[in-house]
Amino acid sequence: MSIQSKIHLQQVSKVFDGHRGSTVVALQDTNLEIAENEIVCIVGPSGCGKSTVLNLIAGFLLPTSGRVLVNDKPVAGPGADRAVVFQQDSVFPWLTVAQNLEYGPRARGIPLSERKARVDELLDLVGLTEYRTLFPRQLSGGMKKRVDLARAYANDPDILLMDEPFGALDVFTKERMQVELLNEWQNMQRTIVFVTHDIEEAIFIGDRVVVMTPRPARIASQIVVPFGRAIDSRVKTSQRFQELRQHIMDSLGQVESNGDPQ
Amino acid sequence: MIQSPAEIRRRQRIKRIISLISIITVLVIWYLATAQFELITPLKFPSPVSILETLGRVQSTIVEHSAVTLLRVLASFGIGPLFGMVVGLFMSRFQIVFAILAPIIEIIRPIPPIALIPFFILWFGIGNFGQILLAGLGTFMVLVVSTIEAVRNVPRIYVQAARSLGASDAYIYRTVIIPAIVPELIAAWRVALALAFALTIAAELMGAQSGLGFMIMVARRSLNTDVILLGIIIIGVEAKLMDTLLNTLTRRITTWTDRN
Repeated sequence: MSIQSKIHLQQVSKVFDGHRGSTVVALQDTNLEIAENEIVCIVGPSGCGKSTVLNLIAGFLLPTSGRVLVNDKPVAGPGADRAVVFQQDSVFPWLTVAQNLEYGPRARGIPLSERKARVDELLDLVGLTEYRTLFPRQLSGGMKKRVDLARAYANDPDILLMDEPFGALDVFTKERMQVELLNEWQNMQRTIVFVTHDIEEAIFIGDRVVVMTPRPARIASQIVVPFGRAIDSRVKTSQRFQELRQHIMDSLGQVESNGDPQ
Repeated sequence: MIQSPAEIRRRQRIKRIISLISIITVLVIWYLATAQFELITPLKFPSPVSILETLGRVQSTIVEHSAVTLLRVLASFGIGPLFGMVVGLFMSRFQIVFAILAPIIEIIRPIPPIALIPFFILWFGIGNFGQILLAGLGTFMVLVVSTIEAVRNVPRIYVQAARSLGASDAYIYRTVIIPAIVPELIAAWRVALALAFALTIAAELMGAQSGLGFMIMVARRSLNTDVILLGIIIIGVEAKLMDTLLNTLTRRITTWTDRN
């Protein structure tokens, strides 16, 4: 069925060692294919393994069994082709806004003139040009998140991995950031894997929503978002949007009430 | 509550005046209890007046002893913490270095350096070398332990972010680990400075031929409490000045933290 997928999880399991020799299955026999330039949102309650999926693709974790392929090659560790945006604030507080954006290109040895041009471009993209010399502590939460996103874009990564990136923001900032992200995607066209526990956010941003459940931690269902990518948060109040939201809620509730199938 | 800059300035001024009144009160009580009503015998606690008289009388010797102590502190403080920080960084960066040095340091570290003074006198005599080495060793230990601990405390998320931005291990060490530990290291340097004073004075008390500690020891033998108290005050002033200086110098390299 595969037509050259960008990201491919094949029968992936991840088991962590717990206390006194016990083990925790964070992910079980999971298969997932993500196409180039697709935006896939992974939703589910905490403990369902959604962050584990992201960390496996990022290369922060290696699978216990199965294979994680990116561009048909197994992931061996983190790399600049897969940028990660975390929920927590990961902007380097000891660097200015501009220096943060420059970090990736600089680490990879991109020449100065090219770096400067890239930083200017990114500052413009996220609207932080006049804040370039400030330190992160002088910025609001939303602005810091913009720095975080822009820094991730700086290396021109193939894939953007986002682990509840807007989870710590207030509702208004969150909505604006969602719209900005989609706008930026229009210009860049990247593959995005977006983990969230917010179902509305998942439907709004994703082309496809992957629903995961805990015990066993695996994918329960996948829903293709039928109304394309509307970059207007008013779509959230439409009837079709809310029906889809209810559908996902139901599928989550169903699996949970089923309990342990084993 | 939001305050206008003028309001904030006014409050700060009031706080400063209160602090000033507080210190003046202590001085006045001291004066009244000793010089005025003689509630305390001068032999046990001299009055501020006699302290000032003593300062005038033995000025040149005091300057000399103060300078000697300060130089010893500076010498040990220049060597111990710097060396300790470098060793700590290497131990954090390379597991082999850690495996070699950690057990040795763990054996020496719990011993209060003061307990080593008799040995140091035996080995190095009562000259500068032993005293500087003692304070150097103590401050070295503070920085080794604090540096390793600070590296451990660097949030993993920064390292992960750097790695996914394409940074190598060595590059991450230089551009993430080291800047991230600076605030903790500065705190450790200040602790080390206080310790350098404590150990230098202790070494001077137990065996030296100069320095404020030596001066206090000699004064004790002749029950010269004026000089003892004067020595203590000068040690306090020197330590405070050095701490303020260190604080001012380091403030510049941490403009990014909330400290300022």
